[in-house]
Amino acid sequence: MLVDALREIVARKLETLDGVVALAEEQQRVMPRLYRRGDDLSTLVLGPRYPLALVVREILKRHPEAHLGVVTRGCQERALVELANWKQLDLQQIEVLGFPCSPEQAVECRCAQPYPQALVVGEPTPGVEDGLLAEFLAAKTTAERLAFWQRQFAKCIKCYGCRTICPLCFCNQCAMEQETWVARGRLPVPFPVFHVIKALHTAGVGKCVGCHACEDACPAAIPLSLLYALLRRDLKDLFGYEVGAQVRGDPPLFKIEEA
Amino acid sequence: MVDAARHPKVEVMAYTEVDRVDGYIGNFRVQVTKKPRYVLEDRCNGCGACAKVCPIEVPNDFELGIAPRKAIDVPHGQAVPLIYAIDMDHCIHCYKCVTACGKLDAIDFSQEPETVDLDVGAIIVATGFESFDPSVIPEYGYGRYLNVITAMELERLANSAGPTVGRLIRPSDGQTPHSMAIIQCVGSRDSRYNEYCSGFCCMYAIKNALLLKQTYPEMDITIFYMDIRTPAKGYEEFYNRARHAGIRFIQGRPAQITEDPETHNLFVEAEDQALGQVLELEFEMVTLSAAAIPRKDAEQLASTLTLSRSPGGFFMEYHPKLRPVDAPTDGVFLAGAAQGPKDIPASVAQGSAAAARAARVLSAETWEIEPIVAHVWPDRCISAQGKKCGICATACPYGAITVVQGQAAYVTPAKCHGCGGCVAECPHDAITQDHFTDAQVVAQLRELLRENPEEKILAFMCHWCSYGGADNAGTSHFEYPATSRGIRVMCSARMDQDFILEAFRRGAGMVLVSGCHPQDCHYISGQQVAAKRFERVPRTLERLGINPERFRVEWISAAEGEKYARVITEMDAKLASLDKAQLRAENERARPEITKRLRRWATVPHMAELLEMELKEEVKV
Amino acid sequence: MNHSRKLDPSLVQEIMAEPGGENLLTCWSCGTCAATCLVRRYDPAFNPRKILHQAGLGLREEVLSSAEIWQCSACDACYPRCPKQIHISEVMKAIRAVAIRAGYQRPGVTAHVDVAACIACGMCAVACPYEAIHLEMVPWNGTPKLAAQVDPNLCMACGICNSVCLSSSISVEGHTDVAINQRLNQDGAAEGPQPQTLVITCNWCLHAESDVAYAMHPPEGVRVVNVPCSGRVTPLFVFTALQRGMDGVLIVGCKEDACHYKHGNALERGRARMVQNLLDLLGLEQERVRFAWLGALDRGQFPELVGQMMRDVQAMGPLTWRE
Repeated sequence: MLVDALREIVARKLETLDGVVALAEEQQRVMPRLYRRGDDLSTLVLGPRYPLALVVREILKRHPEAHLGVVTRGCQERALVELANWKQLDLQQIEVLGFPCSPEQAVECRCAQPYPQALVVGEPTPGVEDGLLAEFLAAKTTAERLAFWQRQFAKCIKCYGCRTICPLCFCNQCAMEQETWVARGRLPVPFPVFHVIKALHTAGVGKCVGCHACEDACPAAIPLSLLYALLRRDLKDLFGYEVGAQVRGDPPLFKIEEA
Repeated sequence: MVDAARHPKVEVMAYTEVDRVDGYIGNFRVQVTKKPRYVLEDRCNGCGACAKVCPIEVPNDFELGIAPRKAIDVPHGQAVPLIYAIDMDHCIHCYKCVTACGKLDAIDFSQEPETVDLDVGAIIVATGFESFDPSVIPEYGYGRYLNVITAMELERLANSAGPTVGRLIRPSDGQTPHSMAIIQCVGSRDSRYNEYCSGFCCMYAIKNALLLKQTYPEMDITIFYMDIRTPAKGYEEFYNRARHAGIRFIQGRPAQITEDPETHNLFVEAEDQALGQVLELEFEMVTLSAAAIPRKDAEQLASTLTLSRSPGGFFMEYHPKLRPVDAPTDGVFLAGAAQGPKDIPASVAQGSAAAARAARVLSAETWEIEPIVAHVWPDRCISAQGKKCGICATACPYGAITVVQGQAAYVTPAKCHGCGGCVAECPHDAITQDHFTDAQVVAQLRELLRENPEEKILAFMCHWCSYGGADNAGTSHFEYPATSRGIRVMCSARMDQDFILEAFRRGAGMVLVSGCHPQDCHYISGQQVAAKRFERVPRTLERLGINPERFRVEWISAAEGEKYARVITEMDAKLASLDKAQLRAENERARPEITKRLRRWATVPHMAELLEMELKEEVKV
Repeated sequence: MNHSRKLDPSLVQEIMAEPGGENLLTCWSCGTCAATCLVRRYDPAFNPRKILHQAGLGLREEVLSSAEIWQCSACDACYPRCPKQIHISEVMKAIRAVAIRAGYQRPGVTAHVDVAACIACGMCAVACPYEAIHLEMVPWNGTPKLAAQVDPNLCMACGICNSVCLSSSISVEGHTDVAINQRLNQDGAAEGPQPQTLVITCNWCLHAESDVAYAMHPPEGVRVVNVPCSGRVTPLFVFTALQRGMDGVLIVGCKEDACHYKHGNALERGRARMVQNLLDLLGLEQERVRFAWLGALDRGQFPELVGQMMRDVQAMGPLTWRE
């Protein structure tokens, strides 16, 4: 079993690392946990999907000298890469102890690369085409699309869960809370700017790694991953940018050079 | 031109191209090809009946494409000879012309190109110039905006024998423009296209402006310029006349021309510097004074005649001040714009000058050349042994050496100018130069370095530049240490690497090789050959264990006495700073190896004794 | 009146010793740069030819103390046209370097960082066409904090940094998000005849006087808002404008490599595609948002451009999805 192998690896790594971030199942609940040397690793579990990169980010913010391991999936590894590109953490301080998603999980996320580069257990799972996006684009007319998103966004209760749980949302001052863009005290949120901000400020600038944390967190089950998948695809088509693929040291600037 | 064509001693071969030129001054053999006119020259009387009936019209080059000509035609009504020719690229073989020619029967479709060999004593190149095409300057809109034309096109439109019979019209609507802008320096004085000033555009712009003012007194004419250049006799007065006549002059180079899509009028934007303001002025027509550029076939002609080209691409004269109409090849002369853009008075003057220079050649029984020519020792030349070489020919700036595999290379004395490059380049020491033989140079080396060589700087200098520079240092009383000893050769190309090695073998403290600046070389490309050779020397010295700082290359002109003095002073200081014992040790260590390398040299006549080397029988080339 | 002047050749030496200043003396004052310069269209006091000539003469005080030496935005429209191929913006940079050493500073507005809000992501530093921004440790509330800092001598106040800043931490006075939003949506829900067309145009792409006049007095149903650079326009402005009352948005910037601030328009061209695709996905009629690029030779086309947009928006009618 993958998880047994991982527990052994984590035990070894804890000899040298300050801690390992992973998911723990305790009292029938799964929560993120920072394992230290000597901790009982039998509680360490692999699933469900969770944005552990966010946890790593926050720990390192408070403990800038720490060296941490993180037991996680492909999407979170990509999130860590982009966090490094946006200068929010130093990858030298992190060791990814990666495991692949299951084929069912890959289908659920419609994920093109359901495994991290730094795989310590298991084999790479084959990627999956995003059929939902294709179907959406093919099947719906403009009017139908409008109706669809109006309905979806009308459900929004402005809980900011999508923003708060996103591993790549780290601004002190969030544009979604600025009155110049989003009027205070109005529900439902006026269509469509509130959601466009989130989309453009993450997926639109090469930060969205497709981890589905936002969609998982949304109490109104708004299909955010569908919205962001389009922008991710645009980045790839227009600028050749693969989110989370390369450590560059600087955030990406997207320019079209030719007329 | 008619006079020239009718002169008993002048034969005009029109529609003919030069294929090849062999020989040398007084004895050129020129092969030309007469292109077929398909019209018999001794029958055609220029009546033009054929052109009248020809159904094919193509753009007329003479009219710059503004007007058509027929497939059988003459370039223009005053062409000399006034004999028609058929443009076979467009002729449809309808034979209407044959019918029209009738009894004269001057048309002959069976004509073939004819090769003619001419023996001539002198050659004058007066092939003229072309006009720069301003369509490569996007901000001026030539080729995009209908009413932007070139000065040459204006000449045709304003000419009473031109396509509009002298009425200036706008291409867009056929109306006479009420206003005209003339823009100077289009493609001239421009790092992007041609650095040089074309010289005659200011005058012809003023001329065109005055002509237009004469025909259309109400026309508003503005000339945009950077500088007005009117240097020759009467030119400045002419410029004053133009100003008096109300022609407007604005000093400011236009940044761009834009067009009103409805009226096809043009807006010229330029800073009027006298005002200190950017003006945008509307004109109905714009003329661009485009640069004069070398002809497209200048490269080919240069190669046929072994001519060099100056940086702008025009044919290079032997010397810009002292021999401005002579080409570097003896017996070939240059006249007119082919040598550089110039106007009619200057071209005519040059033509007369070139004729006079050519006449000297033709009226002489014999021709004197300098005796410092090179000649090949056939028994040493490996080409004679069937091997492929030709390095000497490549080094020669004058094409004076012919090499045929299986025969020894041959230097045509009349073409040799005595740079000595071939002598130094030959890897088998198979060429020598009279009065500057290897033996003579080595003899000088031996004496100069006989005593205390480590304390001396051996300076090789070229006759025309660096030697003159050293001379200049002396006459100007520039002081420099007395450590240098000089050897003069004609050109830095003559400075064989072996000379340098021999100098070190003799124990020289330092060696300087010096010559002309690249653009000044008296022998055109000699300096280039030398420079490439000298680049390899430091590595050679390193391999021999000689400090390469003891070798220096400098390009010093005849006027740079100060530089010569400075270089020797620096080298002297450097020499003083080197450890003498180490220097001597270097020389000792290197001597046997250098001796080995110079072994073959010892087989050259007189060399063994000078080099103080025993001649080993086994040395073979 | 005493016109005698002191010409200081050492100024020339100083400028020519700076990287970029080597060709100062090659200029022969043909005036092509002055006639091309976009800055000069709006501020006739700025004349690149004159500055180079003054510098070449060695008029030290005049040159170094002038406000004009700071105005060149290195758009390099003049460089390809200079017959001596002098990289004029580089010479300006060299002159500025000499001025800075002499204690002078750029006058006027430059970008300002809200250190508290800044998350030191480095995006503004990457985006700045003038490399005027760097991440530095700055004192803040007693402890040093890594934040963006702007070199005021290099900043051209284009606002591109603001357009890429996700946390609204850097801005240029007069062109903040709040200020621009106010100009875009002055009356909230649109009064006046529907449908309403919004035109956001950069300062530099309108080359003819008639274009500028049209922009200042557009026809009814059209609102024209100016920004320093089309690159300042974040897509959020577009969506916000549509949400709050505009039925069509036209963004006009400079063509190809004619951007006054080097690469602002390239940034915007990239965004244009993404905006169009996002509008399409959301079912928001992508034809209501248009991007256009005007070059120096496109004079007189602005009214037609706007007119066509207005007609198209009228044909589409007012937005149906606005609440």
